[in-house]
Amino acid sequence: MKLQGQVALVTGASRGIGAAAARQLASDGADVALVYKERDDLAAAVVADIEAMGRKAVAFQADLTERRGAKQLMAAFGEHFDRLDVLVPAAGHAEIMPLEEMTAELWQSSFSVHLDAVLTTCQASHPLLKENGGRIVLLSTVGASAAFTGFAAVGAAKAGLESLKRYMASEWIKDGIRVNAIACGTVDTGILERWEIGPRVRRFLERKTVGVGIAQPEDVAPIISFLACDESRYIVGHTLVADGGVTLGIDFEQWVHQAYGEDAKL
Amino acid sequence: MELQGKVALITGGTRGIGLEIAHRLADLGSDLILVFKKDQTNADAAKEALEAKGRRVQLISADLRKEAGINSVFEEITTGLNQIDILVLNAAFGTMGDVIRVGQAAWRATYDTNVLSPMLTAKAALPWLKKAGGVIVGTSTLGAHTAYPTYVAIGSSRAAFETLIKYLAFEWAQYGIRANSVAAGPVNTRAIEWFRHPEAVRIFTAKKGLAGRMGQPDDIADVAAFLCTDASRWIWGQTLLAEGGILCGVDYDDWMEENVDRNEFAADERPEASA
Repeated sequence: MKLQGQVALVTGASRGIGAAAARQLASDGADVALVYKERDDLAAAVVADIEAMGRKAVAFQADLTERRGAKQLMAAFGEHFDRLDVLVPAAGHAEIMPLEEMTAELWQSSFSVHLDAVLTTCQASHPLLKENGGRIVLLSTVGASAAFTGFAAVGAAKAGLESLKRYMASEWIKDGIRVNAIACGTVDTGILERWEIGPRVRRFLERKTVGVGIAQPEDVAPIISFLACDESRYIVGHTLVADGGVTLGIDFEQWVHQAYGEDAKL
Repeated sequence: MELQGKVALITGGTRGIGLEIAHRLADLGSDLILVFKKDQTNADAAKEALEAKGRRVQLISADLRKEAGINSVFEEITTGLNQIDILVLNAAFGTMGDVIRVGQAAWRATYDTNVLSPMLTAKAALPWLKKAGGVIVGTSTLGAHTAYPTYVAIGSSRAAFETLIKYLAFEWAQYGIRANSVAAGPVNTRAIEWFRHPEAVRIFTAKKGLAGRMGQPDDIADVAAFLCTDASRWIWGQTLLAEGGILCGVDYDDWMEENVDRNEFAADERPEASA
């Protein structure tokens, strides 16, 4: 197994992409430290899944947006694990709000969780990561390089994250740490149920006018694993777009047919 | 093994990155159809090594720049393995030269091999790929994303090639065919010798690339193999850059370090630019 004997730390690991990543990395052989903020019941379920695979799993409660959150986390981590090979800071949210209604609270909370907390987590992990040639896999979104309805707070913060990725990749390669990111499209993590426009987004994506549908967290997890493994050793500082083709192109014809019906005169 | 029972057709599959991809796919269980131009001895050696892994291997010699050559490949396949699940568009040709020096014939020959031929090959493979819900993987170059000296014909043609791959993904998603490419930084293959100063490429890559070394064919083949497997199922129409971090940024300290002997690259005779 590719990650046998290694330890991965995944934040946001109680649900969504983080939980899928934790399970995937464990199935590839890694022991996993899971970080969650609220749902200890969900985190415990992921721990149980991983233990059933014969791997070690420990869940840590932490709020990484707090000033000393990351440092405290790594102190607790050090009591259970003696090495760290893979860091996946997956904690985040996907709140949407049009710019004319954008509140300072949402804007700041997005930058806090998607950018500040990732930096402090990576900084706090750096001493351990550099001992074993560690890898950091960041989670971004295609919303960082293209606009999706209402997604400005997350998109702009993730664009910042992709820049941070290049700086970390560049500054820490001397320590043998390899940093890359994945830009996801819409992933079925429950967000569509929370958004007011969720049903419309789901309908749009399921029609496959663009792309091949809505990703499950399990569709993204193997790519996280790839970037965490030796197979990707020559990929440094890049973002892999994994959006099922949503940003691939524009099918004018289908677009018009779906908006105006199959009989629309073209 | 994930690719057990599948067949991969690899153009330019008997040497360099193409051969390394063949080995990765063979390791994953795939049988192989390797298309090569004319070096039969080399192709036979590749076949033998792959068969030793327990795989079936069909060798086909063809000139893919001509439509007749492409047609002959697919006729031969019907009498051989008669199946294609994975198409690796890897064959490439390069004419080196600055814009001022590169001639029209050489330019056309480069574009014929690097853009026209992959388009015709993909089209000819479509009936098989459709049946299989297949995968297409192209191998490209970092020279399509940043400029190298004397590389305009290859770099620009590979940029066109990557866009072709994107369109294949766009148009053929309806058949469940997934197309992506991997763009390689400078890799230790024969092709490095085409540069005016191969040693400059090696020193630069080792110093500037964050990975601190030249790429090896297997660095690229591992990424190509990932794109052939289900693990990459949500990646459509993309180019993955495997280049050791050259594009990441500029480290002034490294750049200015004066430990390269300037005389090492003193003007010498330019070798005639060709592949």
